[in-house]
Amino acid sequence: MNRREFIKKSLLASTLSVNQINVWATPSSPQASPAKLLIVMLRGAYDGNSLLVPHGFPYYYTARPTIAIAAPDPANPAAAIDLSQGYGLHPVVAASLLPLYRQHQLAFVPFSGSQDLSRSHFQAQDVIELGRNASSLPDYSSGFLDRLVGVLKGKSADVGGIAFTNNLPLSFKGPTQIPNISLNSDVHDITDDHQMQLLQAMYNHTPLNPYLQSGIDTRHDVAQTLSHDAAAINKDMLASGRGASKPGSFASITRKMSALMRDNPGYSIGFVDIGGWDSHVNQGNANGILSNNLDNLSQGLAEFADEMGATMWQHTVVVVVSEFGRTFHENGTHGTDHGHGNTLWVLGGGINGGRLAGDMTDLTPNSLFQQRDTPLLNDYRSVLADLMRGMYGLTSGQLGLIFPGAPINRYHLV
Amino acid sequence: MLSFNPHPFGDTANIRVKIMKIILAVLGLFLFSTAVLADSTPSFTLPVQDLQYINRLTWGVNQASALQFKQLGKSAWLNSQLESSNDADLPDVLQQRIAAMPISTTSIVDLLALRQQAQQHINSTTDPDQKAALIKTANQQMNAWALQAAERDVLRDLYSPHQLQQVMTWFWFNHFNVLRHKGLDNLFIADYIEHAIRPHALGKFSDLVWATLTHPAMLIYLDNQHNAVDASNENYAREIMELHTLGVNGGYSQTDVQALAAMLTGVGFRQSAQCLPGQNQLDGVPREDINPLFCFGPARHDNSAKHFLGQDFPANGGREEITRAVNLLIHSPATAQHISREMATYLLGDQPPDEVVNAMALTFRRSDGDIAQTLTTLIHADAFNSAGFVGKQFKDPMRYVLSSVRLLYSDSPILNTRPVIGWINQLGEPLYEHVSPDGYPLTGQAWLSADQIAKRLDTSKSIYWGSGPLYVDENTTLQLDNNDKNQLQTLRKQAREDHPIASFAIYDLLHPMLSTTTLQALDKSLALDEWNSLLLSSPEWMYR
Repeated sequence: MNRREFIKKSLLASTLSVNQINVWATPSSPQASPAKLLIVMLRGAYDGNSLLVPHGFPYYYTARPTIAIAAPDPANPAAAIDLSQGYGLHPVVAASLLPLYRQHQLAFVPFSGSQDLSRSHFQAQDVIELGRNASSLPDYSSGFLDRLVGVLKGKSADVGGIAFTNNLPLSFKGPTQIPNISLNSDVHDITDDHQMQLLQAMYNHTPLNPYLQSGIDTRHDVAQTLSHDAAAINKDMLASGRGASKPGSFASITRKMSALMRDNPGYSIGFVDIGGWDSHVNQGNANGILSNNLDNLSQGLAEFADEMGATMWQHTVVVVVSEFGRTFHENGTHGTDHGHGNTLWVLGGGINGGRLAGDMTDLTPNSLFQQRDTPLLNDYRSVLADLMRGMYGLTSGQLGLIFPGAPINRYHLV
Repeated sequence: MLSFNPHPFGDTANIRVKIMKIILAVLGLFLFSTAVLADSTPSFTLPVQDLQYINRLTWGVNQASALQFKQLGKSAWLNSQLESSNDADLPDVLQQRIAAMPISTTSIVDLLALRQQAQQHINSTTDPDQKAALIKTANQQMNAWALQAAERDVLRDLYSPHQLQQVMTWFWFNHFNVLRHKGLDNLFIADYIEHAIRPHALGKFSDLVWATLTHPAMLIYLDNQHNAVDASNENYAREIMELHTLGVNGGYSQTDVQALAAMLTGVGFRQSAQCLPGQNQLDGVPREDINPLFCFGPARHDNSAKHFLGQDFPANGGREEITRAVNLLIHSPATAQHISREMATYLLGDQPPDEVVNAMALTFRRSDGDIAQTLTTLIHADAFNSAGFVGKQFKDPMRYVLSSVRLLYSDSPILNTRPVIGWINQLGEPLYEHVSPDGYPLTGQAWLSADQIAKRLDTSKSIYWGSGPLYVDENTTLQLDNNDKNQLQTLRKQAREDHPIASFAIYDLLHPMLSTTTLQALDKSLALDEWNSLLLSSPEWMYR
């Protein structure tokens, strides 16, 4: 039995620690595991004004003569689907996301992001993942998800993080030693016992030892869970009418992610990232590169929700975030350049969704930030902190450890 | 941290006996001939500090590089590494192989013309099936072109005696990163490396900036081919400051980004239309830095007055203002600092001391951005040979795979580079496929994760068992893989017997770098394949 199996087994014997953390458990699911949280990072700055379309503001169509999404019109399949307050949804995501929105399981927080003003993808991504004050000196010692896991572990051993990425993301760097696993290729157990003994002897007193142990344990756990769930996952894929996901598509890994987070208590906090959002040229509108990317993303998220199952989905929150938004105006090459505020997504079976959350303002030439970008009204850290407060019953002091100095605000999402 | 103490002679003898026992057990009656083969590589080693020194300035220490070092002595060896070379010092067979590649015999001008012919053919084809087939073929050809570039890079990385030039070629490609999948870049990658990057890898930084600025691969990747007075796009203007020169905190603002974008309007490459006479140049830029396809379009240029980095650029500045503006970036002290820190992070270690970076930046500025001189300052810094840095940086996948293949397969050049390219892919650092312009991370810490270690346990086995696939040439492999897998297995088995791994010599060379714990674990291995893959999985081999 490895360390992780030991923890799992000992936790089955005691649900006390589970309940301590699970302030969000409803009477219908008294034995539910702690709430699950998945962060989806869109690297490259996605164009939120093409997802949550501000069709009610005429200036949107002035600023984007060739790439705007048409105003809602039932006769036009390329038009936005109206949501509320002058905003609509990109038509390509309607099939995957509109049902969730209508069931109050999806909310958007427009005008959100970090305070970073560099408009550098790489600095801004770091700022998002570190979760500290953008104005303070960068402190790379830990990311906000590492600190969240650290705080939650103080409340219960039955919690842990996992990154579904090739490299450990900055958000998970830090003292809690989070594993990562890439699901793009088949995961198999490392079985050669003799060789493993020798490896462990070699690594025992080196700084790599925790990585070796964690790598071996994670392989083992993931291979076991996925082989156990393989038939069910395939059946669900067919039942959901989408068939097998295209190789390399987001949906091809989100079902596995969902099964792993659902069935493995150690994987309650997840992270995944998707690139390819830096649409400087010919981003398209109802069709095109950006539309394809949004389609891929939204299908993957819908599959994730479906695989989680109704009960566990009630206790799951998915947050989609990007490093910054793009210019409100289109540039000269039918694309958009680096901007500021953006739209953050929150999904979950138990959230108070079906609405737009946070502070909002009219979109006019005068309301734009530096005459070019969507303004920032909702610090992403305050959105996440408020979610974590509701999900895990964290105190202001604990939230301050995770997001030092973040503004306190209520979004009433959980 | 890890220790690399030399070991008592007893350990060495013990392991040698062990390896001999393994060979006895595995090969039985064939012992005599195979043992002689396996031991035909002369055994020697060097003091551990010399092994590490070689290891840190190459794609990994092996017998060939250690022998070169031993023959030349440290100082002459370093001088040889700081010199650039064409392929003249490669083994003859590799020179011929590289010279015969289509990427070596087709100019970028002809290449674009061929591509345009193919495109015309596609456009004029009306039958949808035929059209789809033509598009598929064209895409396969594009892909094959980039794969040739990868093959050439890998062969040079494995077998060129000018290792530092190869390491720095990767470094500068990564610094001026382009993605092979964007637009026609699959076609242009090979030329980009061959003419914009590699000749300047140890030369002048300014040549790298100009050669990348005028290269279609970069103009496509960061969209500047579309940047025009009536169609502004600030992508390249931002990244040339943020990533290529000044650095993100290098003192530019959003208005500087917009001003530079305006100045770079019209900077593109010759496509279907011919370039106007005289527009294939930039004033004050060396002729050889300008790509033959580069073209400045005066009609596309924004002729308004600009204010950039505190300086006024009067209206109608034409292409001369490009030279002036980019020279401001090249010669900025922020650039010297940024470039020096990146080189030190990659070659010295994750957190290079400020004094080393400052000394390098000073050399960089005094030498007009001379890369070899800046590297010399780094290599002669106390920190470069200090215990705090030597053997302390976690290898990125490129270094891990190349150092392992170099160690095991240095005797005779491999015939198929695809497996090597595949291992690098699997570990997450595929050639020419980093999507964003920042390039792959330079720190070791960025690559250190549970998944990376677990994957390397698999990769180390594949590399050890790789002699079969590596010594059956690519064409034969592809053909037989489709129609005669049994024959392929036979050939691979034969190749494996023909190319035994010189485990004795490898052990003798490397043992001063290995800890007692690792040597003891190796001593307990039951078979030669286990011994070799354990060596490649050892903690010491994960670091440089």
